[in-house]
Amino acid sequence: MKKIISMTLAAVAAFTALSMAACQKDETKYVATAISGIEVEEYGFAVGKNSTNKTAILAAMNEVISTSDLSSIVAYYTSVAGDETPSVTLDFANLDDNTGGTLNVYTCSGFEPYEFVVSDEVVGVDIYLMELVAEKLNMKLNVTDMDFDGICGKVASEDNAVGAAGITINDDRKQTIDFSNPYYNSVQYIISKESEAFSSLESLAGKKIGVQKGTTGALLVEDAITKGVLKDTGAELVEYDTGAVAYVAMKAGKIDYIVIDELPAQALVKGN
Amino acid sequence: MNWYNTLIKDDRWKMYVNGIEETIIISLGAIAFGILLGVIVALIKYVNKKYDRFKIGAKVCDLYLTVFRGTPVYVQLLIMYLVVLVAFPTRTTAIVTFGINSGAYVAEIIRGGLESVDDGQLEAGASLGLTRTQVMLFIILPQGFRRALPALFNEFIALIKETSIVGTIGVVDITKVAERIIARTYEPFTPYLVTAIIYLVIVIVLTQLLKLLEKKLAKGDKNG
Repeated sequence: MKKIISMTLAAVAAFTALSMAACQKDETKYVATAISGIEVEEYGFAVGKNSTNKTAILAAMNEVISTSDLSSIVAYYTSVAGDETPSVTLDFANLDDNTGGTLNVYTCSGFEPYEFVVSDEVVGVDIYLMELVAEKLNMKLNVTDMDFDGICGKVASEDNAVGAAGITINDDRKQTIDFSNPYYNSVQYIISKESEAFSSLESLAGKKIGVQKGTTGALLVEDAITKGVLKDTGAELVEYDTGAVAYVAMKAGKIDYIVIDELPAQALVKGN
Repeated sequence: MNWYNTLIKDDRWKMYVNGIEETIIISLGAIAFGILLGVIVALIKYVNKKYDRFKIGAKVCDLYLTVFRGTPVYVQLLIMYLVVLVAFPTRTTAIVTFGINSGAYVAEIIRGGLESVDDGQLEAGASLGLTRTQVMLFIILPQGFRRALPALFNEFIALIKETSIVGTIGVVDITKVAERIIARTYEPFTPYLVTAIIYLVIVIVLTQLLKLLEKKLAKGDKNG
């Protein structure tokens, strides 16, 4: 036992010493700026095309979307994500007595304010709306927090599973999944140093651009590099599991810019 | 370095406790599943070699070994999760995938142990009037298994560390816990450091336990 403790302590000491050497204060401020001249995108909730209860699930989603005060919900979770006391209150669903089975929801945290983690629990706009949907369907809720690029595939293959992860409605995804009505409009933002505040993809020529794997931002930058404004400029796409990891990588100097959805971009730079 | 934000704020240490539970459950489940599968496969291949039986079984085992040792466990995990075991709970998917993957390595390790037992013992067992099954279960398997132990331990330690990729399919293990905390604090070092230390402690404790087990088994060997 003594040996174990001493070995652990030695390891901790070694890591700490390393960190002291590697530690440098990053005082750079970052800002998020909307990319001008690109299409507005719409988020929708996803259900597999062949799900047996597809109609009922989509109906419940659309009803929740049309009857909820979405801007208040976004405001509420933006405050929670920023560790502030929300100025609005929400009515939370009570799913304890529901007996109609379990609604499996797939999401990818690290995308504030839509889905993020507080005290080991995934919360956020998408999860709140899914609770309301589960309440309508008389079901319990089971949220799984996975990588974004696998969510559409999972929802397409599992019966009656639901994707709620700020998923942009597009034609490619419609091949295998059906979407609810749109519940939020978003545009892509560039996160850059305060002194630059770029608002066009052309400005990122020759730089390393970080994105979250499988997102609209990733597709946008990839298209720009392979056949668009960034073609042959030496610009490089760097993909991360979450926007938050991309942001940490940017602060560490691994990448120069991030392209990501509007609200997550604003949440990230708020964490400066 | 920010220990307060990593561990105290929002009770984040509880996330690590749950993460440790998840990592250990998946590792132990996969090890148990892997040993079961590995022993069966090793016995089939051994019996096929010595007695020329189970011809089809041995072919199937060869195919299994080739496929699961020849492809990355990460890819296996994604295929299992998104295609094969779609209707199963995520944790079960992880245990089964790592179990099947580990079983392929365990099978070869145990087969090596079995083959290191002298052939004369097969004949000795037969001359004592034991059936082939009895010879296998009571003479060859115990000796072969014990000789394979050190290599098996290595496999278990590798397996525990390999489970760090389960975050991809939505299991919140200790690696995923670090990522979740970083997503809130934007400070990567402390959460990953805590995760690394936890893996290290788990492996050190396990190594010590296995050493004890090895010593105990070696004691019996001196008399035999």
